[in-house]
Amino acid sequence: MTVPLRAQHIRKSFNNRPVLRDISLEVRPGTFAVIAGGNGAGKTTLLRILAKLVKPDDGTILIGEKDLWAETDEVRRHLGFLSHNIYLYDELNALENLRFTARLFGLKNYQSRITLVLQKLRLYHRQFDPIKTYSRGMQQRMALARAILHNPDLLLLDEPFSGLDESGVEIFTAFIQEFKAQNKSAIIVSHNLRTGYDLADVLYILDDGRIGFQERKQDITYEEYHTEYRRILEAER
Amino acid sequence: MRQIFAILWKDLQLEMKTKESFLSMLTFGLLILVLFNFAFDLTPEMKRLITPGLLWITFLFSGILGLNRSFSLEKENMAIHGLLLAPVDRGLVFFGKFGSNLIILLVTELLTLPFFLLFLNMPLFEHFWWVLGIIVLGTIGFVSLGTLFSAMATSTKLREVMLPLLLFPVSTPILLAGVACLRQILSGEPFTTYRQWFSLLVVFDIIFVVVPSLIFEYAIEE
Amino acid sequence: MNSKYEDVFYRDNLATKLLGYLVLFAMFVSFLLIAWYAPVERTMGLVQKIFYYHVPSAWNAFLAFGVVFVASILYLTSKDRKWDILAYSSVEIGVIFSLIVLITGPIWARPIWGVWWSWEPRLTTTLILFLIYVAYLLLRYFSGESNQTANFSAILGIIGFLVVPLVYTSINWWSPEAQVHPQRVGLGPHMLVAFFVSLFTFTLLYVYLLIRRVQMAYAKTAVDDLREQQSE
Repeated sequence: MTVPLRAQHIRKSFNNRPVLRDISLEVRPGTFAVIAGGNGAGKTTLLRILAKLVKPDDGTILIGEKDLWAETDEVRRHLGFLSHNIYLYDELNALENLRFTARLFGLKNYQSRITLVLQKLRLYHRQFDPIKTYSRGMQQRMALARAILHNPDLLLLDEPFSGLDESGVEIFTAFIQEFKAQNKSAIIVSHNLRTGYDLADVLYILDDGRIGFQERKQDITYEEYHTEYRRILEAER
Repeated sequence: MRQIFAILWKDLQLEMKTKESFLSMLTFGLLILVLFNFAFDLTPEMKRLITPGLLWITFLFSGILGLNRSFSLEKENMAIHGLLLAPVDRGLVFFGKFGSNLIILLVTELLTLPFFLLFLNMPLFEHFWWVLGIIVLGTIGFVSLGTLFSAMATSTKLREVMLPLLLFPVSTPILLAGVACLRQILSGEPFTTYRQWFSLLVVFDIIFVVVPSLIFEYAIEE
Repeated sequence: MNSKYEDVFYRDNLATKLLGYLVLFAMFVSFLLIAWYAPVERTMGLVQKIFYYHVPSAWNAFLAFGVVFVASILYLTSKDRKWDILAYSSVEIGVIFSLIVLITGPIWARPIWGVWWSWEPRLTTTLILFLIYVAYLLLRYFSGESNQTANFSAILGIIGFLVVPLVYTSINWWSPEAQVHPQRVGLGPHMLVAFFVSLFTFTLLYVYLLIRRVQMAYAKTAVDDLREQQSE
């Protein structure tokens, strides 16, 4: 695949209230895009559209060279999505949940993959405990496990660090770096500007449904980024 | 397809761990039976007459509980999105859910049957296999439509109330055919006396398993 | 968004106004025929004339649902909201006509057969149809306007329509004693004329109400679109 994701002129309204007005962005292999923005700016909606969970009113999305919406569901194999909800079953344990995901994705010989993922995310020792007994941080790591189990090429992460303690953030970051080293890409929505800045190759700020700011990290300092962010948020009020 | 079994098995696993659907359906069914016995002063002849109807009413009402639960489980943690993110044909998702709902309800019905024997002297053993067959046929159509509608109902504001509103009017043929067949069977009448009702059940099942599987995707996608 | 709804059909125009007057005229003529041209029925008396409103209302109720069925299928296959609008407009009109059937039925039945209600196949099927209509409206009312609601409504429209023949068959076989409803009534030639005029008039009324309701829905959509543009 040459270009993992190219989205053009995405528009979306809910009940006649426009949420995304004209979004275009491109993510190259091995790069991370970080999207920031105030509440209600449309970040979560954008991610859900890119994950093929919600259909946009307008616009095209290409994954690789395939049109996300024209293709069959096979295109979902390339995507991994992490959201505010963990998308897992409380009463089942980690092993059962991941086995279910593996079967849905039709993975062969999934047991070794499950073990690997659980170990990487330091959940292996609790794999036989129901998810409802996990701490918030562990549940978040479990959600990541679900998202990456099928080895996607593009990760869509909505505030992946929320609920994580320090060691959780460490585990997460280590994983993300490894992911990048495989020449894979990610689009990350983050409220934490510092973390977002560190991870990013390209920085975006959504402003009332449009891209209000777009810059490569190498072209801007953190302070400048921070200032720009405050400016946009102030203007929104 | 393997994915159908994956979904089916996952649902059964969940049910086996919590037993919530099963216990609430069974209890509710028994309650209906008991209340009926108290509310109506039943002579043996009356018991014989109302058994087919009461059986189906009990099954339909308690079935609603299980159907509601099946999708409310998916709403916790929005696990349904985990399903939607996977490259699974939505029709297969339907069959997985349909299968697990069917198994759970059939098991509940089987366990409720002895109580019909107990309270209403239903001649269960003489005609067991025929009775079972009719129950299975009727339950298939009910669960199929119920799976489709409960997927919709859990996404609306009225939630639990919406499902009976949607499901009961369209289940009328099942109720009538199921009762008519049982009435004939329990009276020892031959198949020819209820053959047309039987065919109605079969036709109903075929149409209302195929059609929901085709349009299920519109019930769960956003 | 506006361009989708600019078909001439969907805006108030001269043709619709003329149709309205035609319907008014037809109803007037129909009433005259029913009141004076058609004779009073021998056994049932004056109350039998309800039949001229009862049956065409039933026809409309089922016709409306047929339209709902087709519109629902078209909506799911094309995703064009105009079919969704057609579907729920037809539901709103259909529910009224089915209610008329359920009211005129007992009014007719009580003096003739002594009971307010009988579980007669056609009447009962209309009752089930009414319940499905109501469920449709409740589903819509408690869900708000969205693609999901339109999808759900279409599903109900399709399933509901497919079920109705089976409902009718099952009730029809159920108990022969419930057959107090006249099945094939012998109608004299004057009565036939009055009946078919009434039937035609009612169908015209349905079409007119449907067009008007759809136009209202589009007017609302246009207003909402303007609001959306304003906030951009």
